Amino acid sequence: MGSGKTLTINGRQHVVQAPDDMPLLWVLRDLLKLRGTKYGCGKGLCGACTVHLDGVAVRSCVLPVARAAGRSVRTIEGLGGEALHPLQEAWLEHQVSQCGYCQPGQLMSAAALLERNPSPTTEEIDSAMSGNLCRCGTYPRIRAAIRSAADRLRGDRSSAS
Amino acid sequence: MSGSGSRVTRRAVLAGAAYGVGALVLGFRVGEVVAGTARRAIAPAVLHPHAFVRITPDGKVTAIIGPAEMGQGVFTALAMVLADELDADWNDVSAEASPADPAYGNPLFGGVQATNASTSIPVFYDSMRHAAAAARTMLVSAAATRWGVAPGTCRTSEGSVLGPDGRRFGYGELVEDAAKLTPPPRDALKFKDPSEFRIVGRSMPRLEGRAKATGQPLFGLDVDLPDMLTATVARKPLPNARARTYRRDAALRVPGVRAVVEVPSGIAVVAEHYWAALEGRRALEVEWDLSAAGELLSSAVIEDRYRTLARSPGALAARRGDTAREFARAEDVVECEYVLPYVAHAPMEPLNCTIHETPDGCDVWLGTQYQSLDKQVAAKALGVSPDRVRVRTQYLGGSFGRRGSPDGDVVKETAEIVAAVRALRAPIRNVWTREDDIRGGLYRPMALNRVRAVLGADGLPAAWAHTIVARSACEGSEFAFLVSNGVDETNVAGAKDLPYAVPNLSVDVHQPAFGPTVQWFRAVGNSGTCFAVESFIDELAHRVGRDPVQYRRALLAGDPKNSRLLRVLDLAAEAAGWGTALPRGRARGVAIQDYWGTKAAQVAEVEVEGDAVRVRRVTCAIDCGLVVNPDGVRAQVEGGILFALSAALYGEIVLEHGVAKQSNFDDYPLLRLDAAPAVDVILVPSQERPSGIGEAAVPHAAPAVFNAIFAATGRRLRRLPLAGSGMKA
Ligand code: FES
Ligand code: FES
Repeated sequence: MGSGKTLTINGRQHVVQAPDDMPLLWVLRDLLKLRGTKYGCGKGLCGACTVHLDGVAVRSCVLPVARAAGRSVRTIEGLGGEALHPLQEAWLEHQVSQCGYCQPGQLMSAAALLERNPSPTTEEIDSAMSGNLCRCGTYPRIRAAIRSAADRLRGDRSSAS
Repeated sequence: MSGSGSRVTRRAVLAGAAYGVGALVLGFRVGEVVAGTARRAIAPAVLHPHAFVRITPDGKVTAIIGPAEMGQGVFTALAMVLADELDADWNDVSAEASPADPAYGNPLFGGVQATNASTSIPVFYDSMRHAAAAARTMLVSAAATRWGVAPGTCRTSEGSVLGPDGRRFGYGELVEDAAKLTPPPRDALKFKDPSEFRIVGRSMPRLEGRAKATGQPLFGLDVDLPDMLTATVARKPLPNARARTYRRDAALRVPGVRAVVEVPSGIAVVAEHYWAALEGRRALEVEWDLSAAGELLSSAVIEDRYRTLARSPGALAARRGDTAREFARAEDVVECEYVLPYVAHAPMEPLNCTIHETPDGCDVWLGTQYQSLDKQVAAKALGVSPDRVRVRTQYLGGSFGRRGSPDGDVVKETAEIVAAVRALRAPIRNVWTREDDIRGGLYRPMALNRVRAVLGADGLPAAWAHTIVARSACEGSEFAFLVSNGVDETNVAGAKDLPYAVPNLSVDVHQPAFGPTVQWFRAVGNSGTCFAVESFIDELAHRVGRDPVQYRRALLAGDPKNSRLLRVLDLAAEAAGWGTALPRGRARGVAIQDYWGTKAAQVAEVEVEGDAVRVRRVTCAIDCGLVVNPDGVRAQVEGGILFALSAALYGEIVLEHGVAKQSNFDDYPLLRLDAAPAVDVILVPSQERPSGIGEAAVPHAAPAVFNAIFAATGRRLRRLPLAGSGMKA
C-alpha cells in the first residue's frame, strides 16, 4: 500500500508516500527530484538506473521501493560528496563521457566493483560492466578509467598504511 | 529573416535585459562566409548561418551554439574555435544552446536549424571565427581609444588587450565601451594564421564533462517544473490503427492519474509522476483495430519486393562510359546482393518533451536536432504564433538521427496532449518508454544493393553497376530538396562517388514508399552503400587472387584527388600490421570511405572459433582536415566504430505484419563492454578545411569486419547483421 516509507539516501533520511511496488527509480527521480539516476529501459537491461543498495549495485528501475525501505541507498549525487570520487576524476582524465546519459549508471557500477574488488583484472572489469549499455561507445575509455582509478585508490591506500 | 549576401547585423537585442548594461553581444549574418565552407552544393542558395558570442563585464565569454550537443562534442569544439580567434582565456569560456532562430540555420539543410550529417564544424567554423575576430577588433578599438593610441600598437592575449608600455585591460573592462561600437565589416577583419592557434589543435576536455560525471540534470528527461505532470501515450501500433476499446475508468482509478485523453498517436495518460502514468497506461488495456491500418507488410515481403525492383533500372544517379555495352558483351559478370535490415536508433535517453504554456509564451524543453522545425510544429499544434514559442534545447542523451524528425513527432504529440488537458493548467512532460522507441518506426531504411561488375584482363573492374533499393527519408519532408529526378542524394552517397577507377559506371536507385516510416540514421545512406561497395571490391580482389589492400591501391592510385584516401589506407594498413601473420582463427579485413569530405580507412581484426566471432581490434586512420579537438575526434572515431558494430553484429528490426517484433534491449541487443574491441585511431595532420567527424567512422565497420570474417573462414556474408547468418558475436 501507499504508506510512508523511510529511505536513507546518500546518508539522509527521507519519508516518501509511494505504493510498495513503485520502482525506486521513479521515487528517486519524480518524488525526491534526484535526477542523476537515469531511465533507459525500465526492465533491468541497460544499467542506466544503477544505484547502490547497502553497497551493492542494483537496477533501481526493477527494485520496488518497499525493498529499499530501511536500507541504505547511494546514488550518483552521493558518489563524490564535496570532492570528486576517484572514479569521477578518472572519468574526466580519460574524457569518458560523450552524450553522458549512461555515465551515472556506469560510474555506480564501477564504484561497486572497486569497493568489492580493488584490483580487478580486465576480465573482471568486463564482466562487472557488461550490464551497462553505452550507445555512444565509450567502453574503451570506461575500461581505461576504471584501471586508472583502481591504481590511484591502491596508491592512496598503500601510502596511508 | 532569410539574410542574403554579406550584411553584418549587430544584434544588440540580447545585450540589455538578461545580461545587464554593457554586455557585448555579437551576431553576424555571414552569407558569403559559408559559400566557401559548403562541402557540397546540396542545398538551395539560401545562406544565413549565424555566429554568436557574448562577453560580459566579468570577462566571461559565452559561445552561443546553434547545433545541438548530443555527445559529439560540438559545444566544446565550436567554443574552442571562437576562443582561439578571440584570444580568450579558455578558463573564462563556456558554451550554451542557442534559441531556435533563423540566425542559426544550417545552409546545407535549407536554412533549418539542423544538427545533421556532421556539418556543424564545416558550416560554423568560419562563422565562429568571424564573430570572434569582430569582437576582438572592437575590444582592441575600445582599449586604444581609452589609451589614446593607435589600435595597431595593441595586441591581444588570453582575455586581455595589451597596449604599448605594458598597459593592459581585461576584456571584461572593455565590454561597455566596445558594445557602443559598430561591428567592423568582414573585409576589415584580420584573422589569425593557423600557425598562431593556441587552442585549436590541442585536446581540450569537454566543457560539460564534470556536469556529466556528477549526474547533473542536463537532459530533456531531467526537466523539472513546479506542478509539472507527466504523460505517456498508449501508442497506436501503426499510424492508422484505431482504438476499438479501452478501460478509461480503470486508468483514472490508478492513484495519481489526472486525465486520460485521446490524441492522434494514441491514448494519453496524464499523471502526477511517470510511474502512475505507466500504471494508468497499463490499466487501459487497449484493443487496437488494425483493419484500416493499410497493408501490413512483413520485413521478408518488403525484402522480396525490393529484390524484384532491383532487377529493373531505377532513377539514374551517376553514369560514365557505357555499362550496358560492357555487360552485354561480357562472358562473365560478377553479381552480388547486399542487404541491410531496418534498425532503430535507440538513443539511451528515451524520447521526451516538456511544454509549459504561460501568459507570456510557450516554453518547449527537449533534446532535438531541429529546433526551428520543432518551433513551428509546437506552434501549429498549440494554435499559437511561432514567435510565442521558445525552444529550450537540452543536452541530448544520444540521438544518432532519432531526435531529428522533420515532423517533430515527439513535440507534436506533447503539444497535442497539452492542448487536450489545458484545463489542468500544468506543464506537461511527455515520456516514451523504451518499447515505444524500438517499435515506433522512423528506422534506418532497409536497403538492398545489387552490384555487378565485369573484370578486365588486368583483373580490375572494367564496368560496375550498382542498383540501390531503399525508401527515401527525405521525400515528402522539409528536406525534399535533396531529392531530384527520383534520386535522394542521401541514398546514393558513397555509391555514386565511387572513388575507384572504373571506366564504365552506373548507379541507380529505387525509392519505394511502402513499408515502415524511415529516418536518417548516423552516417545515413553511406552505411548501406559502404557495406555494399567495400564488400564487393573485396570479393573482386579475392576472385582474382589479389591482396585486398593492394587491389584498392591499384584502383585509387591513378587519380590525384584520391591522394588523401590512399594515405589513410596506407596508414591504417601499416598500423594494423596488414600482411603480417596472425594466430590461427584470426584475420583482418579492410574498408575505406570518403564520408562527405572526411577520409577514413579501417582494418578490423577478428577471431573466429566455430560460429563465434569476436572483433578484437579496429584500427582507423582518418583525415578530417584541420583537427579542432584531437581527443574529441578520437572519441568520435572510437564511439562511431562501436556504434556501427551494434548494427553490424546484432541490429535488426523485424516486422511481422507491419509491427516490430523487437521491443527492448533483450530482443534488440546493443554492443556490450565485454564484446567491445580495442580501437586504435590515427589522426592525419592536415591544414585542409575541417570536415565532419560525428559519422565518418561509422560506415566502414561492418564491411571491414565482414571482410575479416571472410578472410578467416572463407564464408562471405552479404546480409547484416551477423546474428542472422548463423554465426554469432
Ligand atoms: S533503466 Fe534500469 S536497467 Fe535500464
Ligand atoms: S555516453 Fe552516451 S550512452 Fe554512454
